[in-house]
Amino acid sequence: MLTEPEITKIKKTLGRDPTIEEFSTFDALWSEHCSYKSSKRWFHLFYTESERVALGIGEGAGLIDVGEDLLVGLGLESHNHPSAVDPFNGASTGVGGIIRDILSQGCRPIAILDNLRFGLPFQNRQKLLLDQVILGISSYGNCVGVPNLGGDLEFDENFEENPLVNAMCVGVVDKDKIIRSVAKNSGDILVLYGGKTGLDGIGGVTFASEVFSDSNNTLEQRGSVQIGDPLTEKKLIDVTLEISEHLSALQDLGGGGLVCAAVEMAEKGGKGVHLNLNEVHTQIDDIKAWQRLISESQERMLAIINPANLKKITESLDKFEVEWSVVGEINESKLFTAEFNGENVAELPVDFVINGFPEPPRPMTEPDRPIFNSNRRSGGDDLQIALSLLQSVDLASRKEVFIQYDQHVQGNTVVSPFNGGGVLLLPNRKYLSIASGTNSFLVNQSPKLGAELASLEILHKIVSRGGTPIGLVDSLNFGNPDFPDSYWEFVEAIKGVANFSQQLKIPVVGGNVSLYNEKQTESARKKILPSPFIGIIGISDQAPTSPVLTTVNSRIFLIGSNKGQLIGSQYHKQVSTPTNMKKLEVYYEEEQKLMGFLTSFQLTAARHIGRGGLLVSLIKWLIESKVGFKANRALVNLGVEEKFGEFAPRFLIQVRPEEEVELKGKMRDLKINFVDLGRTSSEEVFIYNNNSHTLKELEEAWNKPMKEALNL
Amino acid sequence: MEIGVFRFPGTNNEHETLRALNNFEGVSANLIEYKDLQRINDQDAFVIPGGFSFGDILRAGAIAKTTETVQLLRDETLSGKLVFGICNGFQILTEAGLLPGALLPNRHTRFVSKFINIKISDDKLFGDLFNQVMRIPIAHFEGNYWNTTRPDGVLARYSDIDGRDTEDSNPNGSLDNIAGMVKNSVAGMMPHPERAFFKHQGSTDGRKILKVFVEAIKC
Repeated sequence: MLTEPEITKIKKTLGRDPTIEEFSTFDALWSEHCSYKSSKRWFHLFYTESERVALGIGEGAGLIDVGEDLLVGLGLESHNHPSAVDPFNGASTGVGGIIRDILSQGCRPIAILDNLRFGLPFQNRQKLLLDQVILGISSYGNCVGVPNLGGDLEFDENFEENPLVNAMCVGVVDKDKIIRSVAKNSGDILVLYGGKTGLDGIGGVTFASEVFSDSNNTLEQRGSVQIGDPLTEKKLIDVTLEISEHLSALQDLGGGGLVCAAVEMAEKGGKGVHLNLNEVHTQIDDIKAWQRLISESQERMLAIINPANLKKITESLDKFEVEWSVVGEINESKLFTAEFNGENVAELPVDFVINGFPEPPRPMTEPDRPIFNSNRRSGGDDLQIALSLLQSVDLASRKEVFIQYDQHVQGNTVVSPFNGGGVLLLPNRKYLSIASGTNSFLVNQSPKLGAELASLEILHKIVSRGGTPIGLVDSLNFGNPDFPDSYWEFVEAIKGVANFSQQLKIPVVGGNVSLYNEKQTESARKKILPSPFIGIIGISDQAPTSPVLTTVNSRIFLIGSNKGQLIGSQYHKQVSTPTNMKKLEVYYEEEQKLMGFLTSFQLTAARHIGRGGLLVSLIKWLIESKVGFKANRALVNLGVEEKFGEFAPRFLIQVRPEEEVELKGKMRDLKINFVDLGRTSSEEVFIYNNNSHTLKELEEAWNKPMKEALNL
Repeated sequence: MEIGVFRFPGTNNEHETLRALNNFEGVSANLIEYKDLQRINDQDAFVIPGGFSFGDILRAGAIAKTTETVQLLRDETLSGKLVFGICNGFQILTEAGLLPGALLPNRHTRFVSKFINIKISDDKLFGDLFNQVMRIPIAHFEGNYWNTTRPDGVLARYSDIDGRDTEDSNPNGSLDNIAGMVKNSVAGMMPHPERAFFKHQGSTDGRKILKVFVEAIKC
């Protein structure tokens, strides 16, 4: 909803009351979702320039040069509010939306990743949300034929009212086939193609820019949720790639609908745009002018074309059975105008619609927050603690989720997403590694440092495949920015992601902001844990380092730092509050050294050390690899920070007997610390300090929580 | 040799299928839009690739089977031309009655995508591979093979790595672990040989299956 100062500014600037169509235009375009009015002011902090960046922040997708005249496009977006109300359709249209963002730049979509947050999956509502969101992503992504290459999933009671559904899409386009979302020529015409415009998703962006409360019942908000049709989306992809060379500009219809796409493209080109709303092809006749402007019905694209190309383009559209209509034209007026039933219903300066919003002041204060106190203390020795972490819902295997997504469609998947990030073979024969996620629990302990360390965990997944990071996108999910504590968390996390990008020179090429993820009840506010998702892509000329152990009678080394950090770790969350609460630290120099080693030296297998720390990651690696292991005393004798600490520059690597001398020499030269943890064996057993567990037994324990959550 | 690869609205495995087939010497695999009926007669054989033809509305393959394309295809098979349906292609062929049985939703009514093993059971068309165990990915929602009786002409069965058709190795609840069927000149399977074709895909067993198919066209 427009605020009082915004309405005042509109009336004062226009010198009159806006029409309902104009009011709807402002309501959509000045929403946080479209305007970034609370966030844009911080974007200058990001590292954004590198010689690989072909298109940075500002359009549907960022584009990164990967050589041989090939560009990789990437985008990451939230679809939280719709998914809370209608999880199946909310999640599936989230996938559809980010695919079209990539498509807007002319990219063929080649991978989807999704980042999900729910309440603890022990009660029916949370189980239902989880199940329906997965089904929504699965049914849509599989049907459009884009493989799922990863993502992450976290549970916490703070996501009960506001689950998070974020989706990332990656695509490829030849350099000479890029499409921009900029109206360049007066006299060009606007072709709207794809699904029919209907009454679904009316006011979606306004809905997403408000908090849930007891008074705005989620059932009543169903009309704000879009309904997805993946078959139309698939046709949209096919036809767009066929006609792309004949288009002057293209943008998908996402948040804010037709008016948003038309006015944004006009503004980028410094032009004016006129729409004839009677021409819009609709689901039913009785759709009012303002609804035609802001409907968020799915699977629609707005192309700007030279009229001479209309015949060629519409022949293709007809061939693919995609509906279209010519809905307007570009002119020099620098005005947005619209007509309906012969009447002019809108006349607004384009620049004012895009840039005229009064910047909200957004005060911020660091909240007083007690240190998280673990109340789930589980006892036992280190191995028992590791096994209890392995069987917790936080660390349980996500296999039962991932097998519901097609991972191999298109035939380019080299590494499936089970073990962190995925890897694809690109058309230029290079390997693209992809991973996305964050660590909401950690970020909540310390938003800036947490965002940096959570981003490093994603990066570790890329470099353990041998990929050199070349670009990142973010999607920032936070509580209501009207509250100074929420806004403080948001700004701190932006600073964290920005510092990560600056320190490691990984350009930020796109992003999305989702605020208002909280529920206001009479007695209290319930806001989500701050969740700055990031997605990173990495590139490599060589086939990826294996995510699973490939040989027996080899050694597993811990390389890099011995210790991890306990604050914000799963040990902290589930076992015991660390006694030494020193501040979190980030070690960029050590990170860079290890990154150089992993990306330049051809290792046979490597693994990041993720949630739960060293011991849990080691056990997971053995299960994933179906390779047995006998632990050395050196491993057994490590302390708690070594075994359970997280967020440190360190990895697990496989060392085969024939390469041991060379590898050790290399690491000594580079001053990389290493510890020999033990030897792999063909017998599928994990032997640790006189304890012995079969991998089958461990795997069943690791799989159990998600099976239960999904009622399998 | 000309192999026609059909694209219905919603087909989404056409590119990798074309890429795999065109990798064989002497093969020219052609993308044929489903309405492009005049091209059908020029082809020596056909592949219906995977995907979600017509969005799998009603049932997988239920709309595609009513198209003139599939009617014409039926005539082509009568003259002995080979047709191979993969995943959605297999579903279309069973819907059309060109292969016996039906493909129901998976036992757990969830989509399943993973590498599995199959053992080739057909000793005729795919006889060169008889009893071989192959590692190939599946990706489907409706792959639970069903028939009123135990059918003849089983092409392949889901198995463990040693070729035993155990309950554990059955990913979708199929009758007798059936993963594919063959009848006269028509074959179909749920697994995706075109996704286990090149080295980067983690298995090249699918190449053997498509090779046998391509060589059978020459005969």
